[in-house]
Amino acid sequence: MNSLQLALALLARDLRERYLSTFAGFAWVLLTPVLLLAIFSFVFVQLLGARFGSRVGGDVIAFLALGLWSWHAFADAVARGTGALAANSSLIAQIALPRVWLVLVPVLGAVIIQTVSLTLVVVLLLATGKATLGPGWALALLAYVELLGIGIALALLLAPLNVFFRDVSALLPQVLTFWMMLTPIFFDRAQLKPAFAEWLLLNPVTPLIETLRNGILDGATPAAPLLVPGLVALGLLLLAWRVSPRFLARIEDFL
Amino acid sequence: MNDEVLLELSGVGKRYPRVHRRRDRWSSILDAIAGRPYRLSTSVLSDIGFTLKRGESLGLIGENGAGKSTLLRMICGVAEPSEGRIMRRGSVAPLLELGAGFHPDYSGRDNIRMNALLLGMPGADFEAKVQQIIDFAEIGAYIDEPVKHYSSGMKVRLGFAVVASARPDLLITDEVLAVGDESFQKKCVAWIEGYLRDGGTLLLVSHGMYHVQKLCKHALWLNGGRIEAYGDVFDVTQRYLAYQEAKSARRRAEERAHAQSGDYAVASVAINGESKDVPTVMPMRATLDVDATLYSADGRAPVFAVGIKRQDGTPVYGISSELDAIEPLRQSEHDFRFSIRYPDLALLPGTYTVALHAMDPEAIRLFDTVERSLVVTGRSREVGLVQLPHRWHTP
Repeated sequence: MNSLQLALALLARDLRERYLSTFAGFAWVLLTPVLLLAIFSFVFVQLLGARFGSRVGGDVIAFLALGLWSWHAFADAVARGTGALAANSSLIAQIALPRVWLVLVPVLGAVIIQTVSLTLVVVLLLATGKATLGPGWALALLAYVELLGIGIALALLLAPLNVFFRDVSALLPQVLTFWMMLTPIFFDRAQLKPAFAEWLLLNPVTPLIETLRNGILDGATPAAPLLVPGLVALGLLLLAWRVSPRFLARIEDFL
Repeated sequence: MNDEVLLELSGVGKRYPRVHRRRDRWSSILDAIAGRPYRLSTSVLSDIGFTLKRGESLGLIGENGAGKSTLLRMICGVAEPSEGRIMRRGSVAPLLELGAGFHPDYSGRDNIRMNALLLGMPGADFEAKVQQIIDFAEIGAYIDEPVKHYSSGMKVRLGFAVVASARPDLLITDEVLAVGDESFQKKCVAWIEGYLRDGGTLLLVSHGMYHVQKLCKHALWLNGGRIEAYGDVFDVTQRYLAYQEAKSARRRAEERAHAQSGDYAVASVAINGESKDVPTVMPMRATLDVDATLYSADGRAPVFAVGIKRQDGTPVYGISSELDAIEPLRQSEHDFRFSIRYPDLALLPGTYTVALHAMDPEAIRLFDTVERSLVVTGRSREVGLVQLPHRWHTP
C-alpha cells in the first residue's frame, strides 16, 4: 500500500518537475500541441505546399500531427525512462525503495502528458472534421497500447544498462532520431519505391503509426498488421520482466 | 522488553564486482544479468552474523574501511548481500545520509512529505506530524522556502526530524551524530535516549566511543570485513581502544626508529621521574622535572626544545637549550641528556601538554616531537593559564 502511495507521490513530483519554474505551468500540455500545429501549417502547408498522396492542406497537418504525437509519446517514454536510474543514483544508494518505480514513474509521466496532448490533437481534428469516427478507432487504440508497450519495455531494459554504460543515454537521441526517420511520420509509405516501403515494415513501429493514423483519420480498419508488433511488445516486456529485476537488485554494486 | 527479533543476520557477506577495467566491467555485468556470483570481485564483508531484539541497542565500531557502512546498507536494503541471509521485521528508518532524497527546488514542506513516503511512513499519519517536525528541526518560516536556500545544518536537522517523527521499530544511524551543530547534536542524542527508554531499537555506527557507550548496550567490532568482537559494549569498546592504542604505539615506535636511523630524535623522556606515556598528575605550585635523552646520528650536540601548551594547543611557555645557551650532558657517542626543572610551577589547574622536541645543532630544523600529558590539580577559582605574581594596593 505504501509502495503505491510512494509511486503516486513520485509521479506527482515528476509531472510537477516538468513544468516547475515555467510561467505557464501545466498550460504547456495544451500550448505545445497548439503551437506546433500552427508551425506545421505554416511550414508544411503555406511554405512547402506539401501533399501526401491525395492529402493536401489541413489533411497534411492531420497526417503529420497524429504520427508525430504518437511517436513523441513513445520516444519521450524511452528517453526519460532510460536516464532515470542514473539520474537517481544518490537516492538508490541511500534509500531502499522499489527501484522499478524510479524507471516506471518518469515513463508514466511521459505517457500521461503525451497522451493528454495526443487526445487534444484528436479532439481538434474531430472538431475540424479531419478525423472520422469509425471501427478503426479501436484498432488505433490497440496500436497505441502496443507502441507504449514497446516503449516501456525498452525503458526498463535500457535504464539499468545506462547505469553500466553511460554511452546508452549519450547515443539514445541519435538512435531515436534515426528510428523516427525510418518511421512513416513525415512521409507516406505509399509514395516510396515498393521495395523500400516493404523494408520499412521491419520496423515494428511502422504498422503501429499507420494503423493509428489511418484509423483515426478515416475511421476504417486498415490492412497494416498489428500481430507482429504486438508480439514484439510482448516479447520485450517479458524479457524486461525477467532480466530487469536481476539488474536492479545489483545496481548499487555499479554506482 | 520482549524477545521479538527485529533483525537477524547469518553468514552475511558482500563482494563488490571489479569494474575499473573495461573487460572486467563486461564480465561483471554479464554475471549480474545471469544472476550468478561475480567471477571478478573484491570481498568487503564476510561471515557476519548477529541478532537484534526489540529494545536492544547495538553499536557498530571499527576503523575506516572495515565494512561498517556496507553492512548498514545491506541491512537497510540498499545493497544486496552476496551471501548469507538478512531477516528484518517491523519498520526500519535508516539515517544514512540525512536529507537524502531532498529535492533542491521544492519547499521544506514538500520535501518532508516526500521524505516521509520514501521512509515508508503512511501519509495520513504523517500530515498530523508536520508541525512537530518543523518545530523539532527549528526551521520556522523557512519551511515554505525551497530547500536549495537551506544551510547544510538546516537540511540535516530537517532530515533527522522526519525520522524522529516516524518513531521506527528499528533506527539505523551512520555517523549522523557527527554532523550538525553541537546544540542540535545534543538534541539528537537526547531524542535517541528517549526513543531507547520507550523501547526503541537502535543500530548505531560511530567512531566516537563516547556515543557508543552512552547509547548502546552491546557493540560489534568489525575489523577488515570480519567480526573481531561482539558482546557487552564496555568489553568490546575497551578491547577496540586497546587495539587502537597498541597500533598507534607501534606506529610511534616505527616513527622513532625511522627518526633515529636519520638525524636527531627524542630517544627517551621522563616527566617527574615517570618514563612511561601516562599523564603526569601534580598539584599546583609543585616542581616539574623534565628529563630527555636526545639521539644524534652525526654525534654533534642537538638542541632540545620544550614547551607547555594547553589542551587546545594554546602555547603557555616554550624554551630551548639554544636560547639559554645550555650544553647537554654527553652520555655516549650519539646520546645527549638534557634536564630542566620548573620550580613552583604557576600553571592553573587543568590539563596541559608537555611537548619535547629534538632539533639540529643550528636550531633551525625540528626533527622529532614527543608529547606527554600533564594534569595540574588544585582548588582555584582564578581564571586563565598561569598565576601571575601580583600585589593589591589597599588604602
